[in-house]
Amino acid sequence: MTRDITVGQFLPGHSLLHRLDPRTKIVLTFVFIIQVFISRSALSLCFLIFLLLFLIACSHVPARKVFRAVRPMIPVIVFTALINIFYVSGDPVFHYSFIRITDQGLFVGFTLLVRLTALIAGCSLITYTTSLNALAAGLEQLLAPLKRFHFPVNELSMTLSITLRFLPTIAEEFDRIIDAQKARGADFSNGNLIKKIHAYFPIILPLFMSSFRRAFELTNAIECRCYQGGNGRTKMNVLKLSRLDVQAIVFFCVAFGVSIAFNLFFPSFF
Amino acid sequence: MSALIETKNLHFQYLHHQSQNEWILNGIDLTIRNGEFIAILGSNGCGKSTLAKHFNALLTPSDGTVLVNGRDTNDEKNQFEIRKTIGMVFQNPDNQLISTIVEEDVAFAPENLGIAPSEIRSRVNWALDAVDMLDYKRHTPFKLSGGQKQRVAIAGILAMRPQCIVLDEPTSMLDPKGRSDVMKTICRLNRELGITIVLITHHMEEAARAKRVILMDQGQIASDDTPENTFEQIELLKKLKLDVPQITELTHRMRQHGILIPKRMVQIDQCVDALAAALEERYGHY
Repeated sequence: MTRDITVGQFLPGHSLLHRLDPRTKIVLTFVFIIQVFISRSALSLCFLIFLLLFLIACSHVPARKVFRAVRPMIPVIVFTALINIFYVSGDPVFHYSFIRITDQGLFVGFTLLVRLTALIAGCSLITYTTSLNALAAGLEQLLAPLKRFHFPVNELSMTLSITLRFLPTIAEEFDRIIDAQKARGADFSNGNLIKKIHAYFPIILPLFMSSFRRAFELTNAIECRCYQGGNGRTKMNVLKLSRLDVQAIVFFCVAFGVSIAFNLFFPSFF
Repeated sequence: MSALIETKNLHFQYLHHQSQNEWILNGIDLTIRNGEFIAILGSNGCGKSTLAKHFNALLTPSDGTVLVNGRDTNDEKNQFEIRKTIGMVFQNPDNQLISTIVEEDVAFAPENLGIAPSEIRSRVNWALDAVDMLDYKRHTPFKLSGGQKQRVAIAGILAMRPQCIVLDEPTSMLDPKGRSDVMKTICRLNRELGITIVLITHHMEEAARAKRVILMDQGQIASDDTPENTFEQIELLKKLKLDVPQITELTHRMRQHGILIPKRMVQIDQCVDALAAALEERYGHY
């Protein structure tokens, strides 16, 4: 299961999406997600899904990979959708004692499924097409105005990029420790829930120990490379908005306009 | 050759040891000159890594002084300059790489130095070229082998243009191929770029590539000599629980059996020639 952690797995490439400025991508992804969540009309939602599929096609990232990030989240998504099916009021299509399923509930539940999938796919698409350093640099630039309020923007982006960089490493370690404990006769599949949780202590503890050790070594390595916080740092890749970014922004403005128009003029559910 | 690193009566202990008067480093006097290639050998816990961390002010002495280009490591104002001069590479390459792209990782140190972007780029290319990893500059480090990752880590230090690189057991987590590639790189940096190398290791074959070998024992220097002379001190090596290099062991035993082989050999090809000559002398041509 841990192999499914795809956040922060950059696939180098030269597609349109790869060449966009990270700031453009962050802002547009953010707006896209808001759109997906506020859109009230089925037509607009369909349109946004097509937009997402179009973007995936533009990115040269296999769609399979993009949607793989959704897989570990399926239980959460399905659970949230089910809750909504049962709790939204409207015209009942199914009624048995206290269970009431309404047509609106079905719609809300189903669209939530779509919305959450689009959210995760959108986020994983940006991490597939943007290197972590670019992502951190983009975020840093976007948040730069906060520096005036003594907000540690640079340190925050450094923390973020190190977190993302070490996620796969620690996932790998997690697998290794499980194997090591299994080899010593640990049992993770039998017993009740409490027993199962107990079985995981001998994994979490070594994982913490080794993560701390990694952290100390990393601190040394970073200090050796003269890191002194954000002050006086320069960047090898200076972010510059290109013509492509302007085109992308215009394209998305039109697309979002269309989506809003669908919402205004076709507000029906079906 | 001028002195690059100078330790005078260096003593060190961690705070929690202070009540016991237990020194991890117990009076080290050492001078490292520009351009040298030094190997530091010793069994586990002899203080060799602790000593290395004093060279670039990661640790500061409890007593005595460490000077780098005449600058005292105890003075915090000197630390930036010292770390720029003395780079350090550690055992586990995974815990040194901070980026998911090779060239961005190598750029980290020059970015910290506040250099202009175009200059950073040329330094990154130069450093990757120096460790023979230029072809991989757009790759992600996860997909590289251990030896390649370690060479990227070396490039990350090299991009600061340090005078000296201290390597703390850089090959101990690598496979034989990675080990030999990293050793080749280290030797080349010393030979072609004149970078001072301090190599901490417990592999005798690696130490044999150095020009000067320092043996450490219980926080003190037990021997400081050329590899040829160091490896002849078989009793001392055994006392320090170090392996005797295969070549030394072989020639030593052959001498015990009355085969005349000159002493003080550490290089493999040198030894092969001597063996051939000795066998020829004894048994004639085949």
